Amino acid sequence: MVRLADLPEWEREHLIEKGREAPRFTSRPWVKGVALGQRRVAIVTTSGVHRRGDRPFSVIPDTEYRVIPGGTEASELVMSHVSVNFDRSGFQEDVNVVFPVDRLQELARDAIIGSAADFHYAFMGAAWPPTRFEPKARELAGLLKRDGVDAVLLTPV
Amino acid sequence: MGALGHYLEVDGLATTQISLVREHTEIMEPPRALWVPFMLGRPFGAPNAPAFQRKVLIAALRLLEAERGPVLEDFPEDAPAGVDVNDTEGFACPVNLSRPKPDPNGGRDVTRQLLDELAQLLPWHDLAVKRFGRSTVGISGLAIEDAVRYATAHLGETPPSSYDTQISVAEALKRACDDLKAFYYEAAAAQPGNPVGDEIQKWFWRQTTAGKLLLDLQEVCRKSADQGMQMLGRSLLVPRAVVHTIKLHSK
Repeated sequence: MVRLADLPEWEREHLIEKGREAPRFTSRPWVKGVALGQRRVAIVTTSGVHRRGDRPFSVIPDTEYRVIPGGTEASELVMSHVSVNFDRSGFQEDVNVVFPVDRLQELARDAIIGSAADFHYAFMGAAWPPTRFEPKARELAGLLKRDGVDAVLLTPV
Repeated sequence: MGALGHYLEVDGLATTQISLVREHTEIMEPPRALWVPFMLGRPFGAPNAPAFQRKVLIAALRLLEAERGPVLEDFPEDAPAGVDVNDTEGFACPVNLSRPKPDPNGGRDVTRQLLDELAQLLPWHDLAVKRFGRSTVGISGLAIEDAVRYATAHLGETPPSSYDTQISVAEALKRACDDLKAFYYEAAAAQPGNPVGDEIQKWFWRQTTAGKLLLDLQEVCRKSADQGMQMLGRSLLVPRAVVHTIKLHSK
């Protein structure tokens, strides 16, 4: 997004307030790994994307996630994020502008990454404060490891 | 997003992320982040731009090779423009839509006008489905005409209950409204001129009956005794940008 300084005052104030409420972590975890060409990568998005038949995300934001199997067709993906304050027209035209699953598979085919995960995951990022996500993030870590994942691409909306 | 990165990394998984609000990422300091100068809703820049999306993705993934962190890098390019930025006229929908006059007898006339409007946009929506290979309409599980009827029924003196016993009335209304909006946005995107998000947003909220319906529903929700409906009225039906534009124009 453009820098906060370039936004209209009302939007800048809203985002500055969110920043004031954001958690400050005292530790700086850092996991090293193998070269990118050997990594198995999963996407975790907070965009509220899910398969058409899945339960839509609720107007009362929670920290539940939806599972998106790697082979899911773009035509099966919809978005039920509760916020009305971001553009959806890009996603409506092309899933990859939010959830770049086709691009990730291309990188695997071109051996830029080792492989794409069998399962990707989607949250709705509206739950606040973000520390609420800790239990589900830790649950997800276990699931990702069982899928052989050693690198996670996190994408907002 | 920053918190998820922190917790996953604590549990032994390397993460890299896209940052849309740089100032928030600076505060939370996740292990690796690529700030991108794209509009909210488009973390990989632009739809139908696979080469550009790939470039953004690789830039984010390359951060995994950093020796130490936290790392916060800036992506150096703006998203490719979908329209001629010198076109000051912007998007003008060629379909002649006229908003209804206020209906003193409840919601029925609005329903008819909305169904007419929908019918006028249907060929464009059909084209959108063909062109994009899909539609994102359908969160409510209702046919789009039924979503219209359900939403407008909330303008009447006796608002309906939820169309699905498993979800609240606020949830039901939100899903019907989201489907309606998705239908209009998709139909507009298929029209000549390749309109982008901001242009479609202006058109939807300023010129369509559906936009007017959502503004009216916002007022209905604000006055409701139901807490979920009040939430819709506060922030979940009308974007902040639209609320502030209306405020500016009413001064």
